[in-house]
Amino acid sequence: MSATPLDYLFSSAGRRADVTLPLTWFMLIVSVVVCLVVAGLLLGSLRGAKGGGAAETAAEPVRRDHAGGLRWITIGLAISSVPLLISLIWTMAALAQVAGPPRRPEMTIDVTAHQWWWEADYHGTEPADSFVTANEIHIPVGVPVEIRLRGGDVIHSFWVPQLAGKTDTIPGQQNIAWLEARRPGIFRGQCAEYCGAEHAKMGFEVVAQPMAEFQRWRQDQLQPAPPPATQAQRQGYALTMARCGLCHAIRGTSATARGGPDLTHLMSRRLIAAAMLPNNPGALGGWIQDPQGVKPGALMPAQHLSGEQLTDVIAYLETLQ
Amino acid sequence: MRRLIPLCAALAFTACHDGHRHDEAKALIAAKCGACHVVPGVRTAIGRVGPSLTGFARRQVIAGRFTNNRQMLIRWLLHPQMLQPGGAMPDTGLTPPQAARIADYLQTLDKR
Ligand code: HEC
Ligand code: HEC
Ligand SMILES: [Cu+2]
Repeated sequence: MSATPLDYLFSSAGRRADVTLPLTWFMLIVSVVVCLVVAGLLLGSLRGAKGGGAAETAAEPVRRDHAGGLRWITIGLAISSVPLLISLIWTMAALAQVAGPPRRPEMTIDVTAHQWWWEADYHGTEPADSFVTANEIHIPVGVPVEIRLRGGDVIHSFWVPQLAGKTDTIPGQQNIAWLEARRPGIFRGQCAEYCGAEHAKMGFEVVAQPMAEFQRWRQDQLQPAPPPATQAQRQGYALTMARCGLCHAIRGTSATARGGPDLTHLMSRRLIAAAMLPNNPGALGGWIQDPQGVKPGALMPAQHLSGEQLTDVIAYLETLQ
Repeated sequence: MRRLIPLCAALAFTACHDGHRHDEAKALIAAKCGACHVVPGVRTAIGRVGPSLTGFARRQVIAGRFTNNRQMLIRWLLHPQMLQPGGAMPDTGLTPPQAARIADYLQTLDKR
């Protein structure tokens, strides 16, 4: 798990980030050095100007022959054009490398950004081979994966810093990004374009796994939800259909709405609420009862369930493995 | 002055040590309770589903029913659904040592 903030500045794990990370550091270092040099020269010139203060303020400006002045400008220009030229060439080369995948992607995932969560549609060769999930995007390691990005409502931006740079998602338009993970792992993603109240809490995770494991995950995701078995589950099921089915889909049931994340395999996800809460009965219960308490403005209203109802709903959701 | 330095260092160390004593409890609370309770000292515990646990150490009864002592609190944390069937607080899957650690932390919350 990537835990420390900004750790993507120290480790990349994907073909595109591998290219941009060294460039990021080069630019950062050059910028800091330039800042320091300019600040140093400025301070130096302020010091130097002190002595001449009286003469300079006299009515008649004192004309001095700065014999070396012009030469310094030339030297300055020459020095600064070197890093500029390097960054220009490096940037062009990097852009060419990250623009498209090295070979045709074997897989396409449609990712739609919503206020404030992510929908992921996996397409198979036939409809029965397709499914929808949310906030946790699985990809196989070592192959390029095409991500077709759509904006569901306003402009968002898809960003998984350890794998690739940002690509905006724009309503009414389709933008293409691609990911290729070099090693298995869980990589944090984040919306990177301000999109409203809960922009900061619009995260997701990309889970990169070996092909066999990925295929197993895919097979699991294709399964519809099992019927409820116990009394509590049955009561929870009825409530879920009546209350949650207005916005959520659970494949294999009458809940088919697309207003919120697909819950068919809710329990297979590590995190909930767009990667803001861990997925355990406590956080899940708290989220369902009062999403506004932890994510004010989220488009899921407080559910006002009684304690019994909440317990039953959790019991049913826990069957959605 | 010379003597003060080690004294300060020792104080700083114990303060620091004390600060970390409840780290595990706080992490557990952040993961399992924060969506329902406000808990002082845990930044992400901002939930409004259950009562705020501010000043919990001074509370006389747990969930309006059970005497507030360490033993009872641990039982409550382990089996809220058994003690209060149908209550909104779910069993959160704590182990007894985890529940004990959380209880120890909650019992330090004596400020209103
Ligand atoms: C009015 C629409 C609406 C209703 C009704 C609704 N939800 Fe939601 N739900 C949403 C939206 C929108 C989100 C995404 C919120 C976000 O993360 O910003 C969401 C998120 C969730 C999530 C987190 C999913 C994830 O993987 O991140 C769960 C779990 C959930 N809802 C369960 C429920 C349950 C259970 C009910 C019924 C008791 C319910 N919802 C009723 C709209 C709704
Ligand atoms: C789904 C929401 C939810 C979760 C998760 C939850 N609680 Fe609660 N908690 C409640 C509710 C509701 C009450 C009030 C219960 C009652 O009176 O029956 C409560 C009561 C309590 C009380 C008694 C408070 C009092 O003043 O009487 C304590 C202590 C407590 N919870 C601690 C925790 C701890 C520690 C966790 C995490 C391990 C946790 N709770 C998880 C909802 C929750
Ligand atoms: Cu955003």
